[in-house]
Amino acid sequence: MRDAAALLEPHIPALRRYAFALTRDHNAADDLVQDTLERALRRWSGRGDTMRPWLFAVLHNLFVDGVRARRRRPLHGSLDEHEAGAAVAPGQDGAMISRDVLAQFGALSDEHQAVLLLVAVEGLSYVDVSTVLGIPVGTVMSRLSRAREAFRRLLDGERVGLRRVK
Amino acid sequence: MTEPISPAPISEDDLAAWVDGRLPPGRRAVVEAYLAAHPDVDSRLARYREQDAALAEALRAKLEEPLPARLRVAPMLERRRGRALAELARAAAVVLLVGVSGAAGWFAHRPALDPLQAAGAIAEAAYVTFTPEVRHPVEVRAEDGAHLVQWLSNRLERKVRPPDIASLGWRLMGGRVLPTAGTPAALLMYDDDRGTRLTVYVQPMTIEGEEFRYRRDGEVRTILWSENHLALAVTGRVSREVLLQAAQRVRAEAERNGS
Repeated sequence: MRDAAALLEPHIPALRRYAFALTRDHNAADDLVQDTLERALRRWSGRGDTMRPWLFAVLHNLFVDGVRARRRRPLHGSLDEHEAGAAVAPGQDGAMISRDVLAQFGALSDEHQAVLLLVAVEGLSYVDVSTVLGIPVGTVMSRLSRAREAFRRLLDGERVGLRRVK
Repeated sequence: MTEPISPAPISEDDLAAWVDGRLPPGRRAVVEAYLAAHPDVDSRLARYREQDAALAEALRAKLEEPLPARLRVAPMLERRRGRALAELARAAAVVLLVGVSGAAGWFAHRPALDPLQAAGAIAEAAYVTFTPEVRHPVEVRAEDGAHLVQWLSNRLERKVRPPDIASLGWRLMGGRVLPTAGTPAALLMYDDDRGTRLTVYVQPMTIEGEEFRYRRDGEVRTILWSENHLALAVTGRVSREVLLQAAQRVRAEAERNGS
């Protein structure tokens, strides 16, 4: 238990990022992470390798169980405050502002968001993602493919829209 | 004509794993040959990689944000330790109270901090005092049912109807009034065919909520609880299971009678 802090703390930034991406609310995200850490301490068993997927699973389940009702605060207010002056992300024509990326991302279903975040942002293995989401690896793969395609369509629609305005 | 053994067909899973750089080298070569021949798929996967990178980039600031104080683990561990100590102290205090009030006579000089515990101590002392009585175990006998109800209700300033637990083999012998620090209490005594005696103690008390306690002093066991502004205790030299059955029946009776 004494080294719990040393073992847990390296994971906290990624947990916050995942929680924020799910809730798009800084406070709600930190609530989730705090609950996750407290639960981790209650059920502590010094899990070595499985620590990372386990922590994400705890956080994910807390999110699914309880926080859904509180999520989705006014999206832009929250983002503007945080992402003000956000850099231009690499994109084909430089039009992919990170705020737009997140806004479009928020239009995906919860399931698509979760799988994309865990694979593409957090870099978890497919097996670990199946642990976090409690679904078979095959489902992770098919969900991932569908999520990427849905995200692409959303981003393309956005870009077409911008061009038309210009 | 023989064709070379062809590898397994390319699946969407292969393409997803290629995007994530998670294909084993042999398979990767196969997929890349396929992509070279299918530029439309190749450009679609390139878009996927781009949008993954854009998503990660959009969230990068969050990863680099300094941690707020409330997400530090060391203070959480401190708080947990503090809570564990407080719980231990509470448990120790309860044990102490039971020990102190269990010693006959002490509670009379030293009012217990907890009114329910004090009621339990009186119930226990009353059981020990009155059940050995051969000639005067009760003041008013059960045969005088109407009088017993009237008398106890007057003294306790609320309707008191002795619970009927005959189906468990406990026959009402009668009852008496007991002094407490506040409104008097009632002690109802029951016995079974073998002469074992059981008491039900009823004390009006302003107490919020419901709580259950179990006390034991040697062979004498007491289950006590509060409900509806009453402290109730069932005491006997019987097993915990027998006592619990009686207590549950008393509780059901009390609820039915609204007292």
